[in-house]
Amino acid sequence: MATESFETQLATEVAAWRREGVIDARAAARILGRYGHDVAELEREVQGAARGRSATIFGTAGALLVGLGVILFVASNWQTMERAARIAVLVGALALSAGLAFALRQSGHPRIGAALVFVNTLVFGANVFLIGQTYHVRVGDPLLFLLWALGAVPMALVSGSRPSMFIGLAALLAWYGSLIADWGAWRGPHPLVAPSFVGIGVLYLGCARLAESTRQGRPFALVMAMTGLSVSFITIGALTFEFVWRRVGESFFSRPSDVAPEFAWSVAAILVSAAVALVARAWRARWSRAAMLESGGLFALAAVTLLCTVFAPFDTAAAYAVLFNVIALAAVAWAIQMGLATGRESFINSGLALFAILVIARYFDFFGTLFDRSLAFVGAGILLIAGGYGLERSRKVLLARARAGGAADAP
Amino acid sequence: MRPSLLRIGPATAFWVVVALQVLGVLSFAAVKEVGFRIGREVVLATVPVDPRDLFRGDYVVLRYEVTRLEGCFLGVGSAVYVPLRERDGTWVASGPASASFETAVDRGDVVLKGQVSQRARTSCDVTYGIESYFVPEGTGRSIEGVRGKLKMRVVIDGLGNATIKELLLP
Repeated sequence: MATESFETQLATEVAAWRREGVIDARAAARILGRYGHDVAELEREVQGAARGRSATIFGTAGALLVGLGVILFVASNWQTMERAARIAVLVGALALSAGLAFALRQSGHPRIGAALVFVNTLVFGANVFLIGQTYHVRVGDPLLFLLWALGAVPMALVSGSRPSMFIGLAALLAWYGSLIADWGAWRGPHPLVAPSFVGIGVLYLGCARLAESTRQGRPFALVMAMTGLSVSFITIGALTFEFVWRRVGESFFSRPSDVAPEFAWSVAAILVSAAVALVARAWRARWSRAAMLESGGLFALAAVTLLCTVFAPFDTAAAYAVLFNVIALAAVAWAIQMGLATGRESFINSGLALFAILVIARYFDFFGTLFDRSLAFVGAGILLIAGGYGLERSRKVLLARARAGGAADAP
Repeated sequence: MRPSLLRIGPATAFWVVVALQVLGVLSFAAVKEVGFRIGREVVLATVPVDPRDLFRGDYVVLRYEVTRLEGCFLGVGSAVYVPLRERDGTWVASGPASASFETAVDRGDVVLKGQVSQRARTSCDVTYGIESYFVPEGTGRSIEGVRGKLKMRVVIDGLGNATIKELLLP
């Protein structure tokens, strides 16, 4: 005889299968009917979730349009408007978006309210950049990105908005990118740029895992982890190109000292912070196998990138490119293994995305110059379609195995 | 549960953040506005830049006569203070740049603060935060035609920070 807890669990699972489209309404009715459950209630819940998704999609699309509209309005009329009027319009839009977001959340419309919080974050960014433009602040001034991040991250924390957190994390990344540009690190670029960005990715990921263990931080763990993985993998992906290493080499050997000393200190600070976050994460997880595999993999990724760029063991750019192709493939295997071991779909998706990027990049590397351009594109198209088919098949299998594995990504 | 002054509800926290956002934006504008009103106006001459770089979208890229400083041996990223003095209506460097504000003050009437962006053997390039001038859409091409003859009216505050006030066409 079925126990009450089994029936509750079954009802929850069936509701999830319906929402995800795994089974249709008839199958759900037949399964639940066997245990005397109210099928109509389940359908109401499924339709409610679908409406919620639609509300989120429409709300976010509307949010983007409103944000864009405010930016365009001020940008188009800034010459004719007085400085004070310009600032009044911008600050008014900021307060209005916050007020509407608050009112909607309070009146039981959390999804549209969340979309308005996102509008607030975008309008805050518009405020910063358009006021900067009003006073002709230099394009690429790091202060602008820092201010945006300082407005976005606290708003995300108090409202639980993941899109706002993503904007905040991206703005912090842009702040660091523009800061090191002022320090002369992008000319070349300097060899330490790569380890610094891999380090930032690892730091975001370590912080995501730490956030997961707190009630306030849990909603942001996934967006932090995905941003971190993306930053690290995109940097590793860039290092698989021979021409990148050629430029790094030219920069390193021609002007090794043409960069501010603050840059090296910033890289050291990032890497030490990332290492501390990884150790803290493993410690919080009681040195579990999964935590050690995750922390160890990330540590190895950052360490290899740092060692290769600091000690420059090879003479040719091609050797570095080959090495980083091997490292990137190892990163793919590690991410998929991590996804399977911990049930985190984000790892599997990131690993497969990096693999797809590697395949396309190497295709153009090797065949782009050999074939006629039209043939190269036709080949790339066929490769993409075949790759998409293969990825879809393998992704389904991997995700099913990951889900069966237990733990999942934080919501 | 023990009451605490620091324990605030989600609604209060939300409005505190909104207040900080508004305060941040207004402070940013206020700092620039105050500099505008109390600073000293100077006119700086620009020099031609690569035409591909002069006008990008809705802003003009500017390079000044004081962008390249001869006899400058400071490292990239270092703060640099350039003494200025008026000559024929335009302000020019009146002595060697220095890493110290006090030293530069003795060498000119106004001191302009910058940051070394690039270094050569005996000179360095400096950015002053006034290298972008935003123009209404579609008007940039007319400015491109007079590149090298442009002058900029700039306001410099007591610490040497500069803000563009207006573009002076020849």
